[in-house]
Amino acid sequence: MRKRIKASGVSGKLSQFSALLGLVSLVAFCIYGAVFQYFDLVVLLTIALGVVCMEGYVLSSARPAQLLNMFGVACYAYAVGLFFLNSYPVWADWYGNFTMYGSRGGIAPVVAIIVLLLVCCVTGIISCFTAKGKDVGK
Amino acid sequence: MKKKALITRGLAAVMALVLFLSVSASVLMFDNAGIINQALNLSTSKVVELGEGETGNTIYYDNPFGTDTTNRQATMDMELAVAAENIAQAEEGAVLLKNDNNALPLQSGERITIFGNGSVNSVDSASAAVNATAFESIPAVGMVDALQEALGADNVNTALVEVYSKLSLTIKDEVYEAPIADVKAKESTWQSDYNDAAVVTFTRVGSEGNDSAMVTAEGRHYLGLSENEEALMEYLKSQKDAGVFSRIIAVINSDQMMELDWVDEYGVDACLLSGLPGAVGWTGIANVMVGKVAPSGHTVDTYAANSLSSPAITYAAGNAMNWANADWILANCADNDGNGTNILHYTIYAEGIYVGYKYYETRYEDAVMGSGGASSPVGSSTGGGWNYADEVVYPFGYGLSYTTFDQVLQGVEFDAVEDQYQVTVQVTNTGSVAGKSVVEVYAQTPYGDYEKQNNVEKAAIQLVGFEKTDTIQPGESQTVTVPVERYFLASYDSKGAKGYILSAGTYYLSVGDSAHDALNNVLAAKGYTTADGMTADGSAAKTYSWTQADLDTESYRLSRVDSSIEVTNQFDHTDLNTFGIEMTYLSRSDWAGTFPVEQMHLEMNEALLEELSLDWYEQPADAPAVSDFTQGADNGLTFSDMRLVEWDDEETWNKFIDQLTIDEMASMLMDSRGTAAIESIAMPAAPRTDDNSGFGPLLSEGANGIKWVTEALTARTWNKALFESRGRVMGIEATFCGLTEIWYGGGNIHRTPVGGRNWQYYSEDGNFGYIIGTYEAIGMQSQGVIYCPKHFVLNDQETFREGISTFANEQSIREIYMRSFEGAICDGGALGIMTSFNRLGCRFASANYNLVHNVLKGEWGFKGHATTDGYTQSGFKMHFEEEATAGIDYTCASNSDYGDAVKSYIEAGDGFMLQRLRDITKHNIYAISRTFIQNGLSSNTAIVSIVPWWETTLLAISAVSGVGFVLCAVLTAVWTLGGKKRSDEKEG
Repeated sequence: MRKRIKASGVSGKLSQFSALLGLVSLVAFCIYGAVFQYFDLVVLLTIALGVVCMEGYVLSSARPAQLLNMFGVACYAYAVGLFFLNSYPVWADWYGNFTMYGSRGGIAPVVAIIVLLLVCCVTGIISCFTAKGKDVGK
Repeated sequence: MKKKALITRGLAAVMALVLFLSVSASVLMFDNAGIINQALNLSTSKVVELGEGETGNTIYYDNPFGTDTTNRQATMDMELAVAAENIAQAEEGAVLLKNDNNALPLQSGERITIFGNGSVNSVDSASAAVNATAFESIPAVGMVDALQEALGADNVNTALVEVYSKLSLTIKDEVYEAPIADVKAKESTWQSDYNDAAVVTFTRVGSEGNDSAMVTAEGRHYLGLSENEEALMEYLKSQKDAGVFSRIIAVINSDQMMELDWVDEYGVDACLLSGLPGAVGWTGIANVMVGKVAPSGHTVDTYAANSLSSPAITYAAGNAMNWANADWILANCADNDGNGTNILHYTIYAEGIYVGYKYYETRYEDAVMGSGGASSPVGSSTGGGWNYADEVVYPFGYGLSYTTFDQVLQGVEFDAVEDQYQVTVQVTNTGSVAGKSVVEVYAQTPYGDYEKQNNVEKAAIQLVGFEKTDTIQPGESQTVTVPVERYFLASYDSKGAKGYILSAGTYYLSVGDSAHDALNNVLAAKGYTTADGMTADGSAAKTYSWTQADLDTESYRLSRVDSSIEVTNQFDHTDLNTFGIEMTYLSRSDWAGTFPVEQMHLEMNEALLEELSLDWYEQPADAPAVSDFTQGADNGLTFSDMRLVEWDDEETWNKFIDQLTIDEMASMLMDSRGTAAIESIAMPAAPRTDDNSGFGPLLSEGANGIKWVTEALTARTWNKALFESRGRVMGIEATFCGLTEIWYGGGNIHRTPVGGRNWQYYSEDGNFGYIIGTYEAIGMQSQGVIYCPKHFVLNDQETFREGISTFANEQSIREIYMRSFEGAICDGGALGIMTSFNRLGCRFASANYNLVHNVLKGEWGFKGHATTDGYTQSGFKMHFEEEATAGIDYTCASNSDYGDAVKSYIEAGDGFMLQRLRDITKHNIYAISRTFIQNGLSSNTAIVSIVPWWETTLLAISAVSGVGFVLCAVLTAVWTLGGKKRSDEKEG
């Protein structure tokens, strides 16, 4: 596996990084959702799917796997969009300096998770623009 | 992989990110479209001429500044007028609390030094700093700026500005003041100069969602002096004692009622309550300080020596309670959002009617008269026997001037037609400068055996009317007639008569300079003197009394606005006793035995839980069928036709509503800061907004409107003309910005000094609220803008406001808390009202049938539209079917599912819900049709909806990115997988 990652070029390494970061985001979201009761199965599944796609892109040499980092980014993007919408009460309470929206947990974990997911997306996008090593993807 | 495939794959990924971000943004922004449109100053409909028929003059509400927000000069002219109004309000709202040896006004040429963090970091409203809130071309004015302007820049020592500039604004639970060493470091600047006066300013704040703390981390009362402030006052006193400063002048920049007993302790010569003067009001305050204007403001609250001494504090604000059986509630309550945010707390208005001065003054009278055990140590701030002089520093209605006035009660007449007493008072300026005087009329009503047996409490003194004189020159007089509603003399008896009563016994009307002064006059009429423990001798000549032989339970048995409706108990469900929990409210018959010393730690029971769950809607058995109604008919009536149609003209209203589709009617239930245009009836969009004490970025080129002086400051003017002009000028600003309604009017009560929105509410007195609300409503609606007081009702604290269960007795609800809204609705004709987040008892206020249907739209005959407080997409707060049944006409602030929910019932065949929707539509159209958007409408006009550019842009981005993603993904797949096929073929 290590060999495959080494041989996967810039694209594969970025995708691997994106997968790892996606995994961190997934764990962070799970903790956040559990502690502050903002759990959303769709967000969880889309992040997980993003991680699987990114990792699949790195590990698989099949040609269809060339599309997986692209779909990984789509999954992350969907997750970040949905998470942003779900966290509206937090943003609103933070902006208004009140508790009208009944938010929990404050804005810091929300911003942190969104930033993590956006970095996943950006690294995934760069991965999409770059090629894997010559020995893979054929 | 081919290069072109890499590019399309990358582009597809970019498109995917853009797509999902833009879709998310679209959902969020479309839900809050009204806010965005207002921020961008965009209209969503326009009037077009049809070119047929006559138009005539259809300008019903003329704005002197026009309505073109792109006209820079007009905007500037209007905001200059707003600034002038604010300065006038500040001049009359400043309250001179103390002025020994004429310490104020500051004289020309005098040189002063400013002290106190509040002098630099002062607050304009809520917890916002002055320097961020003015219209861009009219700079905000801070206190130092204003004093420099008034006295001359060279006469104000600003050495400490550098020190205070490094500090933050005081916040709700921490007082920021410079360490005394930092102050002393600048000492040389005032030792030989700038020492005619030390002007020291203190600030306290509260804000939406945030009550002030009761106690700070220092272990001191938040509304008392902090350690650094105390050190500063000790230092200033020592400087004065050493002959450095001639005098000390304190300025109180707060609408929270600070503990001011230190004013005497530290030798303060003059104390001025500036309140929170908005963005430009310091100019008015400075005008008072230098004597350009004589102060004429009076307090609208009691300033206690101990801010935590009132009985209301026991369960208020930070003392709100948690139900003891939280787990049981969470397990059994259907209204649980998952973590019980809104269902686990309660508060009890255990003080009954004894709020603010009604507590302190009533206990004072009983102490003087030796009744009710009033002198007991229970509730005393000192630990000794309760003594008024130890408890109250400045009473309700108090205020000095640079001149003095003599008020002579000339007579009282009863006007049976108006059901009013007319109290005539001659006011003579006995001082040496011109000034205005406030004539305050108070009443005492009988408290006899019937009242004691039926738990009808009576304040020893209550405000029943007031007027402000014109400016009176020295030696001259003015005769003022104060109207007093006889209704204010009635008490609500929820036990015996189950309605309003006029007690048998002796009634007093008393003219006084404050509630305390008026009570002393009543006591004098009863024969009491200082020998009996009075703080000062009163004047019996300033009272008028009469005796009523029999108890009257009939005069107010029926609604004052609709004689077909009987006024009777509506709030048994807010009294814990109804639910088997014994609760004793404070009674003047036994101060020691009923004062809420200990908190009751309660467990919710089954009966309360049923109320809390709030799931009572069922289609009535006799409900009409959906098919009984016609919708979408063409009856030829337009929105403009309804402008003058009377409420009772059922035939025309039904014909009009028959024209609307269910979708059109339902669209009005969802706010997003206004009602969308309805082309079929030629109704333009009707935007509305929150007051926020200013108009935010609504004016020309996105500039902020001037932030207004606070509601409490306006209240302290005691000037009905200024109440009316505030409403009117805000209305002018609103029409200029195209706003048909302002969620403005502070009907909640300053129940405690720490209430987070005391700055936004009128006062601690219900009758005062009745009067100010009446005039503000008249002023604003004269411009074709809906006045919308909030938050109806019992939302007198911010802590746990979202869903807290509020228990109170019906007498206090009717005589204090609802009374403060009643004037705006019944006398002012307000066409808006906002309900609250809290629960009455355990029933959510917005879905409270008794409150909204029976009282507001029943007893009070409210014809306008009622909204919820901000809809927050948190389903636990909103119960649409119950709200529709109660009579809520829309959900405020952002789009909600209210309309969809009501529609779903109708689609399921619920004719009652359609009947409700039609009634709600009548309320919505009636209110909106009385606004300025009727300007320019006629039978010759139509309405065309406009899609704002940002909506088009967002949709375009979503569409392009969506198509782009699919296209790029397909191309990538074709080029990648197609390449594989060819490669496989080659290899084969």
